[in-house]
Amino acid sequence: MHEETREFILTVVRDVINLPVPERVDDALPLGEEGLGLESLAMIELVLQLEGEYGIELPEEELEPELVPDLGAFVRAVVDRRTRLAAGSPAK
Amino acid sequence: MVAESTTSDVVVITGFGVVTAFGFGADAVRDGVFGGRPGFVPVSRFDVTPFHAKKAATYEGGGPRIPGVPVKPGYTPTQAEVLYACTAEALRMAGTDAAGAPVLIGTNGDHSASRSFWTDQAEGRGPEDPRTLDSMPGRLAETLGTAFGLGRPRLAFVNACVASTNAIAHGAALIRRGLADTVVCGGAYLVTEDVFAKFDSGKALSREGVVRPFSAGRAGLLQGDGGAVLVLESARRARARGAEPLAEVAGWGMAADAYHVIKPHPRGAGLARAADTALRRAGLTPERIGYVNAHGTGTPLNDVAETAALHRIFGAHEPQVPVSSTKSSTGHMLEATGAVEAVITLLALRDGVLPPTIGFRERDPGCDLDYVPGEARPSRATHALSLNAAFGGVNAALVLSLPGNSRRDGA
Amino acid sequence: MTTSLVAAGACRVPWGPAADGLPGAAPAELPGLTGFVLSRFNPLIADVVVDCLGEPGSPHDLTTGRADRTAIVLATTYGDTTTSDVATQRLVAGQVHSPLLFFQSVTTSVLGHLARQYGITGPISCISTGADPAAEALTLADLLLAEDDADQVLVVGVETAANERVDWIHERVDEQGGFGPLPYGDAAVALLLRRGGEGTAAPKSRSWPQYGWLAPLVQLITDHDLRSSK
Repeated sequence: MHEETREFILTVVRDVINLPVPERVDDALPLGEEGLGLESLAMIELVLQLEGEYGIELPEEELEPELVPDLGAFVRAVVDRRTRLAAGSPAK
Repeated sequence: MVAESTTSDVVVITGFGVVTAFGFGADAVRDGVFGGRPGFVPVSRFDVTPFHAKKAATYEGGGPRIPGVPVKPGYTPTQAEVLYACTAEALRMAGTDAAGAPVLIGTNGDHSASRSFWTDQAEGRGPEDPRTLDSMPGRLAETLGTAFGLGRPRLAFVNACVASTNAIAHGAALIRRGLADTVVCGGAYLVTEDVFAKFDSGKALSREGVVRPFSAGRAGLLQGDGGAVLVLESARRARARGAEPLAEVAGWGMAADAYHVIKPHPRGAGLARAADTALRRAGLTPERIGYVNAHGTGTPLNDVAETAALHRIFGAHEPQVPVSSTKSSTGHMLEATGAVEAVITLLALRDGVLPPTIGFRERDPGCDLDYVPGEARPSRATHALSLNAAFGGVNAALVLSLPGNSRRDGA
Repeated sequence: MTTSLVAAGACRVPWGPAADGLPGAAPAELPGLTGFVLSRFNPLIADVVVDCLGEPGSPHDLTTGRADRTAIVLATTYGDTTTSDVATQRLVAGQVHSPLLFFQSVTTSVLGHLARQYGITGPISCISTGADPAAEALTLADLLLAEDDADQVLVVGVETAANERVDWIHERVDEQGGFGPLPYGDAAVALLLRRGGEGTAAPKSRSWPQYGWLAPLVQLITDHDLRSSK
């Protein structure tokens, strides 16, 4: 699930948001400047895409840059929501 | 750098018409904006169920009626109607037919019919809502010019939230260079579902239904209905026909941040440069400014950046200048905001009253100026600055002065 | 009429057979513009501006040393109709709006992007009119130079291929007269104007009808033998 989520995120960044994705991507890649370059509106778009794709809800306050500084942390947050949804507990 | 001109004419405002959520005309502005009332109501002209935000400062028929605009549930006044009403009033007040005057209107087009157009398309009907024609911005200026027998050019300014500020600045420049002696300029925006939905998706709108500019805990902007048209004239022409100037457009300036596609420069660099240019053009030092009508959208980033810009503009003088954001009352009128706020600034000077920033709760450490919180305040300001900013880091400033107070008066 | 010198210029129509033989025919499909989606309006502007001014920061960059004295005037009749109408169509279909369409729905966003790349901090104006936007843009640029708001003005004219709404409107406003022809498809022109000269008239161009109302600006480029294609 981790790999697939990560691939989906990078696909959205590249093909929907139209930002360049570096050739080598590791978990420490920052989401914002010096990394994927996701500004606030692009981040909102990415979250909308993930919510639509996986039927989950990603509350803004759980995605603050302090809590989710890099790609690895972001993927973990999404996977966590997906896992909870699959286990039947409320995704909210 | 822009130099004070010694040869060109003074630009004056001799008439205006204005529409806000509080209704038609200056008294509606005095009652709502200077009275410190928020204009925000639950939006009823389209279904807000899908959206996070629910409120906007829409005109619901309260206050003085807008001539020619029907009041009925679910009806969105058109930009054309509002511009027509404002222009008729501005020309009446100015006492001129402004024959041959250029028409400069800040608008991104009236998209209130876009939805019906595309619904008709999607359902296989031939679109027939004539309002769709006015989704082309330039046509609004064109038809307004035709309706009143005005001149050319007839331009729409489409640079977002500085559009009508730019229209006024361009009109003033035309007069100052002797390329026109009268200009009809302004702007219009009526809250429409299209634009509301875009701002909502960008999470720019306050979900608590209140706008709290410069205050701690501010959580975004809300939109509002607005329109204003001003008659600008050369002081020479106004004098020749015995018209009373209401105020001078003493200075104007525009500048870009070169910083970010959507964020303002964190220190308000472009806004400060726009204001510097406007002040230099007016031949005024910053301490002569007695009031600032801020852009003050109520978003976390704008208000800190704008405060930083004001520090940069006013330097050591800064603690004394009162600054208010009337968007706390009118909402953000987008392309119309500069024209409506120019009228509010003019009224502040003429009435000797500063409109308050309402919704203000607590001090934000990044916003440390005198924001005239809560209530209007008497003032003896003779010069005022009005600021606006748009996406892309595009900034604009106007300096308005009471007649007889500018350095060039009587030139 | 303009009393300014045309220092540089570029024009662009899309690649492909329809553009064959035209000045500014792109050799390949235009690349996307980072962070901007869906519409060709923004990539088209960025491409023609970079072609006119030179790559930002390169030895050919015409803003070097005067970026703070450079202004931008953008003229269009209909603006970015793709962004505007796709957003509305999604609304009609009951879909969630894309926040990306929020910021790119105003023309100042792409100009802000370019201003950042070049460090341009002068005035940025955008106008829409049906009646000769090319001449109006040149007049506006002249006024900025005359009023000393800038030492050079980048004039950008742009229009994207008409969609159903534009066709519907244009059929009707055309009858009222005074509204100039639209380009046949996507088209953009950029000119860099500087103070000086004794009046360079915007020619009444009968060439390049494919460029619609932009044709006089293309004519200025070809008349001055300026760089007109990559």
